[in-house]
Amino acid sequence: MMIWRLETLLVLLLVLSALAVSWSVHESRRLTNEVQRLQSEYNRLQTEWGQLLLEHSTWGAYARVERMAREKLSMAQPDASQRVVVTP
Amino acid sequence: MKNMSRRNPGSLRRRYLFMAGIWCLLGVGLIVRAVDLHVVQHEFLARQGDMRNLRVEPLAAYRGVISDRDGRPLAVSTPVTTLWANPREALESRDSWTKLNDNPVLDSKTLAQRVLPNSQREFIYLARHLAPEQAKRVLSLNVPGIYALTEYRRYYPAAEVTSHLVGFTNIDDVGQEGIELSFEEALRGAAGRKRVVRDLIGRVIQDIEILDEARPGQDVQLSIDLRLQYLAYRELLASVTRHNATGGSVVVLDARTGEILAMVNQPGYNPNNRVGLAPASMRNRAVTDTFEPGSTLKTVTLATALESGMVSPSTIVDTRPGTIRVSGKTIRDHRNYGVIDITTAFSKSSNVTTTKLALKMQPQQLQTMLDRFGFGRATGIPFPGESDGVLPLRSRWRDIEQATLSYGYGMSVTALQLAQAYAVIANDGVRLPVSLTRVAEAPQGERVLSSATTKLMVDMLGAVVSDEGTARLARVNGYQVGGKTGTVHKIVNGAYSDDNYQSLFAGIAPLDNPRYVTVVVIDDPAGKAYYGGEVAAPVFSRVMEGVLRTLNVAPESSPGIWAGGAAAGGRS
Repeated sequence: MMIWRLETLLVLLLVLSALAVSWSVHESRRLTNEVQRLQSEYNRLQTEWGQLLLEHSTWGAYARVERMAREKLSMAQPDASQRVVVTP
Repeated sequence: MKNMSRRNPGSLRRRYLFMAGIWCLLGVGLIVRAVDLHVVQHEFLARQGDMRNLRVEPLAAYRGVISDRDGRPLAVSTPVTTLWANPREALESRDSWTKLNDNPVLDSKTLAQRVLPNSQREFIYLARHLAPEQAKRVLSLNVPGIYALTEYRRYYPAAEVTSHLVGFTNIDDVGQEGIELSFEEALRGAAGRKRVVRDLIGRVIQDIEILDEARPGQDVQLSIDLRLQYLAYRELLASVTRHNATGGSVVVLDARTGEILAMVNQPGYNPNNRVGLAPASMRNRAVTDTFEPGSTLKTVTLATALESGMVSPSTIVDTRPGTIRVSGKTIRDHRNYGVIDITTAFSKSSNVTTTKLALKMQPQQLQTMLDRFGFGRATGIPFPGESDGVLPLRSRWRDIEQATLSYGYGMSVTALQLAQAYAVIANDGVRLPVSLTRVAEAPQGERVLSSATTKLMVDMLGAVVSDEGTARLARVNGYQVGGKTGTVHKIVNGAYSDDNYQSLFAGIAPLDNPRYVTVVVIDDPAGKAYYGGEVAAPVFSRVMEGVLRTLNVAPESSPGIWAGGAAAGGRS
């Protein structure tokens, strides 16, 4: 009777561990896939960053900013006599 | 069945043995098969299995970013898609080419033109460096035999403003010019590879091993300040255009650290679009092209004379009649200045005075000093094609050779060398190595002039921009600046030309605490104005004004300086 009970327990454990193995393999594959997905997301964002950076520097090029400040906003550079220096 | 067994127990036993035998055979068969698969054929099968599941995937590695001293990007890599075809595969399904009819990126006619002559190949480029969205318009059609490849393309956000310095890469992302070339080793990233398991629909489900670690390229931070670089670029371009010159350079140095803050040249080019580019516009003239420094070198001659105690700023010289004969050659001043002191002579750029000083010196004295100022050898910045300049080394100097050297002929320098020499004066007589990359702390220098001589020289340079001097136009509103003009006859076809000049100006600011050095070279101005004081000095003035303002140097004649002490006093 004792042996019978032990056997049942072992079989049960065996089945459980088998399930655990298949679950963990599945989980590891799922996570690997997730890593891959995030990696390609990273690459995509990297690309986008590069493009935005270029866009940023195109719009923000000093030549363009200066032209717009002078022409559209009628701004001018103050000369030295118009400047006050504030030292903290 | 029951009846039969009861009738013949012997036959039952036989049948039992028979069945047992069959089962055993099956078992043996299984074992044999298992041994066969697991031991005998194991390698072959494992390899076949791996071939079906395992894939080698690239690990991307970017080329490093080149940025200015504050991290503004000057060269950035972005991924682009290259379309390629396997002509053999593509030809097998020509029907599907119709999907590409009138495709804006790659239409079926172009495809045919590329594929048909290469029908025996297995790899041809169809279109390189497309934006990923563009490539998608072709790839989404799933034409057999057309594949995509990720490559990197370099973009230069500051374009013309930094092109000579930063250089560019070729289509395979290998540095060809400038920093891109000299820092190729560091910038280049090495793509890695890893082995993965893919499932039936191509998802990666397991990382097996990293075959080669991806090594991303290192970023390179230059000493350039993009704001000053732009400013110098704008002013140089304006001046070259206005004077119809063939070219020019501007170099701005921080004399305290030896860092190059700006370095621009004309003519320039856009590194993002190099179609039809003339090689002449690609040179970073400030370091590759040499010229005779002319009067800008008188600063060194005078410093040598002052250092040796031969003269003082108030020593009187007789420059009459405005000419002097040396070894049968006549050296002329612009006009007869009469009897003047050394300071005035320097501010008027008197050749006669300089010649007289040179002839009083020991033969090797000037040559040694020029060498210590850094002339005649490359500054050592990591830039491809930097020129050494020419400093003649003679064991015996004839008078005329010594005289011409004293006013800057018979030797040649780069704009950067000239800036380095003026930085000696701006840095209290100590020469620092110039640097193209950001330096954390000022490097150890080498003393060239005594502090006392340097102070005298700073005042002398200030006198040049006074009302009596040759460079009134170099003045900067609100700041004390100093410098020296130069107008050099260019050598055309081996002889000095009468109407091809180089206009030079080299100067320092602010005079009470010198720190910034700017050198301006305008090559062959075609208009009526060609003197250094007329052409190069105004560029210096505008660039230096911007440098001082941008870098927050307080103007001297500001209407009210709200100093910390006053503010604190008001509160207490």
